[in-house]
Amino acid sequence: MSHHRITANDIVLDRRDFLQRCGMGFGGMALGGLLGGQASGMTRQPHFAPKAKRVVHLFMNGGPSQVDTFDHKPKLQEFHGKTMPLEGLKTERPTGAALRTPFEFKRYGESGLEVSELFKHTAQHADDLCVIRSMTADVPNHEPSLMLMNCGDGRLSRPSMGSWVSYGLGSENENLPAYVSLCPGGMPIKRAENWRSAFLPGAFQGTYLDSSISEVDQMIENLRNPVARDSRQARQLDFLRKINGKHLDSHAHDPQLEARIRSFELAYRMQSEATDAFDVMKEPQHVRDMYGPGPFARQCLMARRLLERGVRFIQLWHGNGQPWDSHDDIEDHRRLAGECDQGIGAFLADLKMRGLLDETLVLWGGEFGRTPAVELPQAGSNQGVMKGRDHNHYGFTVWMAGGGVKGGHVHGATDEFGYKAVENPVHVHDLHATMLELLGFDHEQLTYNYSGRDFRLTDVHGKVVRDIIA
Amino acid sequence: MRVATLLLTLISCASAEEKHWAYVPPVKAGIPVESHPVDALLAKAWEREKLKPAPLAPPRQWLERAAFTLTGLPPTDQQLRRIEATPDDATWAALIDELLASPAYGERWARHWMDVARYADTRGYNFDQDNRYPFAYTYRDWLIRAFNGDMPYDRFVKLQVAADRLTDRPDHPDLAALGFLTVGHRGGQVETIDDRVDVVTRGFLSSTVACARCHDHKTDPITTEDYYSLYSIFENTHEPEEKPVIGKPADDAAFQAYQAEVAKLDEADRAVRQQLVDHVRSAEAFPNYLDLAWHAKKENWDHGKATSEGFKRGRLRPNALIRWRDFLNEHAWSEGAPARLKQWVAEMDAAPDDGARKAICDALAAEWSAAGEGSELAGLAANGGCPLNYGVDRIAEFMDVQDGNERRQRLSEMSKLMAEHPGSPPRAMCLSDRPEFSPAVVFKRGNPAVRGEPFERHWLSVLGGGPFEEGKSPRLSLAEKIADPANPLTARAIVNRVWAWNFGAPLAEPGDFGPQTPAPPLLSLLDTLAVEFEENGGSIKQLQRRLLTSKAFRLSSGGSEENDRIDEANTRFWKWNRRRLDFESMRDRVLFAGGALDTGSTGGRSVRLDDPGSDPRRSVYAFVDRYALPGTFVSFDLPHPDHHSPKRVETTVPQQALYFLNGPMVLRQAARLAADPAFRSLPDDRARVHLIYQRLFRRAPVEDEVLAALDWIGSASPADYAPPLGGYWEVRHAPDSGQPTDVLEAFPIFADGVWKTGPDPAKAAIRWLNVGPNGGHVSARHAMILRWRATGAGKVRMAGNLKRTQKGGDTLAWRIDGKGAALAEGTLAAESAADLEGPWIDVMPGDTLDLALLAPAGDACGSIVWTLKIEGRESESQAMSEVGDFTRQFPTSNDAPAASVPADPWADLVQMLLASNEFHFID
Repeated sequence: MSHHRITANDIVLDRRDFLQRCGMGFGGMALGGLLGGQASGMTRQPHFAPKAKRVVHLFMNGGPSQVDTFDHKPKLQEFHGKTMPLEGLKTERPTGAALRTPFEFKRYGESGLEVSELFKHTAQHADDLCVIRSMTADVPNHEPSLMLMNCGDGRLSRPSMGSWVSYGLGSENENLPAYVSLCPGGMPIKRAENWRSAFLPGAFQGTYLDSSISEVDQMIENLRNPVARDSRQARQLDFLRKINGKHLDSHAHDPQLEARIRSFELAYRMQSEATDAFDVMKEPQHVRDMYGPGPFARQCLMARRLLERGVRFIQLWHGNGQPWDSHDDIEDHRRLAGECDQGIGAFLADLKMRGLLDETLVLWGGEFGRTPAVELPQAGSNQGVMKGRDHNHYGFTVWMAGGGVKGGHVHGATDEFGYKAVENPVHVHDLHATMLELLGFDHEQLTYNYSGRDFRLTDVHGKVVRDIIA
Repeated sequence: MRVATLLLTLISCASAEEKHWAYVPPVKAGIPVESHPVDALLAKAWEREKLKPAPLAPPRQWLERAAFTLTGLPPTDQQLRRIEATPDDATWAALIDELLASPAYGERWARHWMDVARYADTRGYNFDQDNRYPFAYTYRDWLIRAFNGDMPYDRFVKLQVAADRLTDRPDHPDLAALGFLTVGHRGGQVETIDDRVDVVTRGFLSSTVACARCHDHKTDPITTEDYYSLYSIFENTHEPEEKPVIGKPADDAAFQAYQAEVAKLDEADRAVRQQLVDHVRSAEAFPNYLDLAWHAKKENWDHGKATSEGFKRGRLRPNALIRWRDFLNEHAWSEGAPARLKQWVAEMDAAPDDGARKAICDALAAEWSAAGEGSELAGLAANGGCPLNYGVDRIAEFMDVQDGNERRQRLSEMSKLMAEHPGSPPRAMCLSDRPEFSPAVVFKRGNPAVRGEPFERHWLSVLGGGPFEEGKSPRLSLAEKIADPANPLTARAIVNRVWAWNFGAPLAEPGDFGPQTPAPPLLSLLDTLAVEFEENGGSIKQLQRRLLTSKAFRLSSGGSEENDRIDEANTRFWKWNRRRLDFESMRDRVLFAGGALDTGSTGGRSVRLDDPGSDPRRSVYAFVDRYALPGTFVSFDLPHPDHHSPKRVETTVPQQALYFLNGPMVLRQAARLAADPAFRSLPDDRARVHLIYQRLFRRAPVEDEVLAALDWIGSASPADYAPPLGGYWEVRHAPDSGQPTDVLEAFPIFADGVWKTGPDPAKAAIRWLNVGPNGGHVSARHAMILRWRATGAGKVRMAGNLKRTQKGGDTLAWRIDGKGAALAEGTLAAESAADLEGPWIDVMPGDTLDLALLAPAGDACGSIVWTLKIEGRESESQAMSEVGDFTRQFPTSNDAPAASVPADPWADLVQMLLASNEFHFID
């Protein structure tokens, strides 16, 4: 087999592996390349020409309702309060009759895409959106569904999509992490498992930052010296360079020694570069106004700054816990959409304006959707209120934009109530396969050999959804 | 069936034996008796490959290698002097013995095994409950003891798989060994069992049996039945909720206190369960249960319906309701049902409406509750299936979601107590066999929902197969099969690991001894050592002696350039592999150099490494949270503990460098050394440089190094080490003289978050005067002074905002004073607000900026809220930024804060030496 197969030898900075792979001494290799396998420089070759080079995942954690956002179902109004003629679809909690959406839908753009009032800013870019209305997952529970969406497996400890992508493509900026996960005010449930590298080297793990913290040096561990002034640290670096140089001279220029020397230079630069990248106050007022107030808007703006600096994979979580989990009252979606819609709209507009959208694949969605049926009350939840929706993995909506997908396009459909995907269902594995395809990878060949077998993001599943690729 | 299986096994085994090196029993290579097997076999390989071995390294390097390899710590000066004075075989052997006898040896080697055992102190995600394993540490401590005591390897294996079957008392300390199975990631029952199959087979046999979970192994002669044989062994285990105590806390008083706390929590839990018992039997709920049970029967309710209907009747517990329905179904609707219940059914069926049914159920419930002993109803209530019979012991079965959540909360408190209370005794994370074993079945394509036919549980077919011994715990049999000297994998797997942990690279791929891994180039060496290991009773220390006394261990790390063309990756060990310290040795070495590390106490609870209080503890004692792995662990390549790790990957990333540029632990240790009295009291700087090199590198600096250090210290710019611009706040008061004054008084009382002059400001001598973080109240003809005192130099100004909060009142006034002079002033009329903005002034440490709040015309309605900040910069080249905020830095004491330790160029120098390559690489 001659296909490009990335193995541990390509990325692990183990001197033996490295030398075996290169079959040469250190001399010909750039120092950045040595480190690069891990966190910088050395961008790997995809399997074929990529349409997208970067990914931004807008994660509406908790599970946004499709029938209240991007999947309009007039039939639901008609059946409001009545039992829907559907086979018993079991979800997490008991559900009852149809619950109509309290939100107005309108058509937008030349494509006439129907979007509810919740996402009216996002809808301004209707002709850029590729809406998949036939998503399916495996179970109606948050934890396994988060793991499935992020890591391709609901139960096992597997590397996250961002880890696979940074493993596959490396970073374009050696002074910043390749994979960043932003979440304001804490972490989503399952915490760091959502961006874990599992058995891939730790360097491919997502770097989590609490975007509600305004001081950048508190967002990134050890980014700032609490006491030393720049000039003082610069002198320290001089001294370190000198003693390390003497040491190197007496050790036959061992590449692992040189790599470590280089890492201090990188770290020193990273202090200012990272500070700059995350500092949205460096943006002019009118740009900040365009994104609007609040932490989600702020992290959208951060994401744009990071994209410009070559960060490969960015995840923007709506908030800690599972904010979109509107079991009790679907009206809560109004507040939630209000917190992110303007920021998302501005983000898309800004990327287009700067010519970044073509090469950036934006994904919006949750770990699953919500039931068109009302959730019934029970002890411990939803007491006395009958206005909310339960989890739904049978059918839900995500959309993508940029990065080589068709704009103003709708793929697949749910049944007339929006409960279950019935037309061109797209499983999460298929979504992953398609995203990797857009990034230039055959999802069956982006593998990592671990514990006696080749692992991949899609495991033994996944079909590329060609229909949505422009 | 069995014959066929056995035959098949024999055939596959025979063919595998011909093919694959790892399934053939190891044999010793023929070498002269007097020669060292490592050196003799390596010499052969060098000769074959035309490699020239590197020369011997200087003796001091042997010892440094040995000390870090065996103990993870630097050697002592005395040991170094000995090897340098007499670098002969006897001294070398004696030093090896000394290092092997050090308690630090077990700490170092336990940590290696913890990678294999995917050790962590938490179970992973656990919704809203405490996810800690409070007693994982007892497994770690058992490992330390096992390595220090040189436990024979077969026993080491067997105890970790089946200690419960090999110990004779329920409180045996060896039960802690079962942590090997139980400290893994919990991802649901199936995953937990899979994890145990995986850790046992990869850990002890370097075999990827878990690959055969969904289908026969693609490349190895391992079948799904092999996998599910082992799976069923671990499926049929039980972990006690209450872990057995295996020791006593040293502190008896703490133990007593702990027991009292436990009793309190137990009682609280019992009380809640009693409430639920009372609820089921109560006059309100009982008739409702009967009524809804009738509906549930008639309308064939499921659990969801029972939940929602029960909820409407005052949160009837659905499980109790279903139990009532089933109980009545059996006892009221049946043929021989008691008359009273038959009557109830008839009445209910005939009742015209809800009201009538309610009355019917009220009557039965009242009668039943009052039924006397011996009566028919009392007899029914005594039936185990009757909800009325559920006491505190069983009532948890009736708990609904909310009850369950609350109960878990209480259990979390208990586990917190066990985990944290100093008097909580150590316990073993043990498990035991279930009394009845369920049969082994294959899950088709790994799907637990699709089960195959039962089959007879057997040992791995490639290793001989065959059913496990009758009448013996299959888990114990498994342990014996692994530890069996005839098993060709076990000794090789551990010898290979020990080799890698000594020489920095393995002889064979430690993660996979399957057919995908070709015979390693130095197989005869691996085999010879494996046989010798068995002959020596599985003594790891004996093996270490063998490895360390070899010449190979003492070769220089530089070597002939001609070799590089043949074997640059050094797969034949013709030179020493220069190695970077791993995370644990790195951290321990820094703490050792700084003087914080305490190597005297072995074992104990895990500690959070980001807590400065943990500085004395070696890194092996780190609390490893697999759910929220600290960034430092990730940056420094600690393997993720969700999985067994055959070897660590080594990366060089800028985050590691940031840790040394800015990390608090490194800064702390550098400052600690520079502040050490033994360092400060030295007569001159030259001596100081010597001390630093001695502490960090265990050697004297060469003249160039001394000069470089002295030059660097001498050229440090005082401005770089001046305290940064900043300050702290004082809350004071004084009679209002209309002028700035330095004669100020402190407030005598700080209570309820407010400074005041008497317990009740309305009655205090200086009436109304009080100061809180966001606001306060002035007093007539008195000055409230909010004073900022600079601790660094720069240009600053005071800025902020004042606002009156009450209706009406006297006109107040404010004034900003700087260094004793009035800088700005204004009035604050009733119901008004004012922005403050003082002029820029230069300050030196000790200078002050005051905000005086005054009530020259009286203090009626004199409440003010404020924001008060200091803006400034140290020099022209900097941007202005906030350097003080009264609310955020609100003082709660009249004492000046402890002055921070002044920055010291010596600490900076030490920090860079700690960061240097010499500190991190062992030659």
